[in-house]
Amino acid sequence: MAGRGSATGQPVEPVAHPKRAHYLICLGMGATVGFVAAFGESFYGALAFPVLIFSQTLFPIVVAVAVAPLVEEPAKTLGLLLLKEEEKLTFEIADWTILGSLSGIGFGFMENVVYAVGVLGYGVNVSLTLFLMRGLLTAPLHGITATLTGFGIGLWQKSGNARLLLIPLIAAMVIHGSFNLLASII
Amino acid sequence: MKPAKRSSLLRAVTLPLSILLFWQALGWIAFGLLEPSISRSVGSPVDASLVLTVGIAMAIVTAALGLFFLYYHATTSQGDFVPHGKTIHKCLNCGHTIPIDTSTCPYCGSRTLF
Repeated sequence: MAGRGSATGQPVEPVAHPKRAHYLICLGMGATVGFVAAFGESFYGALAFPVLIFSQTLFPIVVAVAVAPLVEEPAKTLGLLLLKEEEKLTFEIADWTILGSLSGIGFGFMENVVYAVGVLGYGVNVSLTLFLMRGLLTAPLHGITATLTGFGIGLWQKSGNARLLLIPLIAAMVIHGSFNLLASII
Repeated sequence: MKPAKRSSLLRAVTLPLSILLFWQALGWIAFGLLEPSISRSVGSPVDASLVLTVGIAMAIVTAALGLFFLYYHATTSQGDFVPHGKTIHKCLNCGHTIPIDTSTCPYCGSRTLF
């Protein structure tokens, strides 16, 4: 793949901008993670298990506000990490943010598909309405948070300092958690 | 002569963020209008007027943020990451920071660097 050393050992020109395949990889990886995350409570809900001892009503709120952002935000950028760490590709910071956006949108889209299928029992109309509403509301939210994480990955690549990824990643988790808290309150 | 735009590293996130925020502003309006009917259908009705108020308020906030990021994008130029400890020039003409191995300012073409 472009951006790595060639088979003959000759260095290859670094990739200036991502190719279509890179965008698709990020979108697809985001969607794959979103599919898994849509069944979230079964997988990572257990992390909030101690809360169940104190309050049963608080449990879903803690899962949504604290556990989900903690697990989903790093997971959402698996596609970007694949390109950076495995394929050793180098892009501009602005390119990493676009890749992050696509990853988040893929995540949000697939999560919404699973949720919409989950309410099919209430009727196709309810399912489609939920898909439309979440497609407009939560898909861009995941895009926004993944954009920030993508920016962090860009900073990491430029500086070689992985700690620079932490600030945007934490900001993404806080935004995601705040959104879920607002949704829980309403 | 047109003044040079301020260089900012954060500009990289502003365009995608503004697009996504405008997209989400539509989502908040959809939330205000559609959420009551969805909740009613699944058997857990919500306060429709509260949901609509929150939806509209959040749509305004989100769109305002989107406009801010768009303005930031339009009024800045993309800055590059400059590691700490690396010697840099500063252009006396436009004020941009430039890597040490550059003799001419890439932003305004000036040779007056320090």
